[in-house]
Amino acid sequence: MILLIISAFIFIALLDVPKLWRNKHIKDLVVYLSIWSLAFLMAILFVYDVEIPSPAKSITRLLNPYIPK
Amino acid sequence: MNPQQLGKISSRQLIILISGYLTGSILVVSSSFQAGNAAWLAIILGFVEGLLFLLIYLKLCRQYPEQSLLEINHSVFGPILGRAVSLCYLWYFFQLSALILRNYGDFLNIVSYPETPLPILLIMGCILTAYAVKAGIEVIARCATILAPITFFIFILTAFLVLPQMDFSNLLPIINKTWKDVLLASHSIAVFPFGEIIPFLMIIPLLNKPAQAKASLLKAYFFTLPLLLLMVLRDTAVLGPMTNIFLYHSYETVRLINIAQLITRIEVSIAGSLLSLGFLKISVLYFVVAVGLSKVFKLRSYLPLVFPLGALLVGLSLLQFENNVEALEFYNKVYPYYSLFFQLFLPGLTLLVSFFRRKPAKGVKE
Repeated sequence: MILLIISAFIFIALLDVPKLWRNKHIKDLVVYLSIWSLAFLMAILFVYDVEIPSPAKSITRLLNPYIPK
Repeated sequence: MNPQQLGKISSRQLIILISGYLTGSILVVSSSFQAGNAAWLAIILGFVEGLLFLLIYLKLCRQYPEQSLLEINHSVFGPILGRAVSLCYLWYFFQLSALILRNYGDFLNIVSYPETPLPILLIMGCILTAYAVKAGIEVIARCATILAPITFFIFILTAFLVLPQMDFSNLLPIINKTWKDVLLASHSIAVFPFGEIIPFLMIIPLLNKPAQAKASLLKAYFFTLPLLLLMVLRDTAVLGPMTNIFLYHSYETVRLINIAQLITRIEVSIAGSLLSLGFLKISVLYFVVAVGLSKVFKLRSYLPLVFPLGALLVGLSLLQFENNVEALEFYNKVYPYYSLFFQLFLPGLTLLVSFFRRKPAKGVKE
């Protein structure tokens, strides 16, 4: 499973990174890699069943006192 | 990045795209049935409330013609604060697309693929939309001109096919819950789907005739109302008091179609047409996020961002909720108040600040 995810993410990176690197679009590459690594981290944590804080739940907790029942 | 690179769409395409987008996921999950029999009344009230939001957006469009939402933020709040506000909007659009992806994934998982794991369905949907986003807004708009009319036609056809099952006494008493329920439901209708028109402020500058932007937004907005009314009247008349039990009302209604034992069990084909609108909705939001992100960071093109954003989209839609019920609970209870911040507060603030900023400039001119 973990190998599958790693190969999928490497495949995604291979689609765009070489072109960006060749053309020296460094800023594009930095933004790309930060989104890519965030997604990669999320996928790895998901596979290992690590509890990731859900944004929806924090929003619910924050807004709960103000929501009319 | 010049707008030429993003392509151009005509105002007719925009109208069809918006009406497909607005009717999209409401046909699958509808929060209007919290109002009981008065769901149709909730839709009308929500429509009026949503119209107020739309007036704010139109006013912004008129003050800053041919500018997208991010450029408006930039010229109103300045480069740094404007960028922060833009990122807020982009987060909202991204989270919304993750929510919708999750809703459709759950819908598919429950009605037709009970054995398939949810991540597979989400990844499949995401690959399809990523492909559309890579192709650009022109292709998405052209898809809309095919997919949305077919769905509307099928939708109206099913309303006729289900006529034998309808019992119009189900609509009485008109209000079987409290007025408070009706108002709460009407508010959820105002933010979902009507207030969700806001990402189109990013697409309006791509019109080939920008002068028609206001007319096409309003036309699409008014076109959605009869479709939604038809939906709730059909579902209330067919399902009656059972509307409170079912999760997917349109689907359950279509299930009951039985014309002389011949035309039965056509719900799977209906699910297909519902999914096509979901595809439109997710691809519009996904496109807006990719383009917006590339504009905020001043990148050369949005194309390289599409695939990593897709991976993040699948991750976010998976981890946000543990199950379907939790997702729907968020959509029906919390989302109407959460999205107010992005649909009413931020655009209202932008309008207010732009009003104060413009005044001295006027004085200098005079």
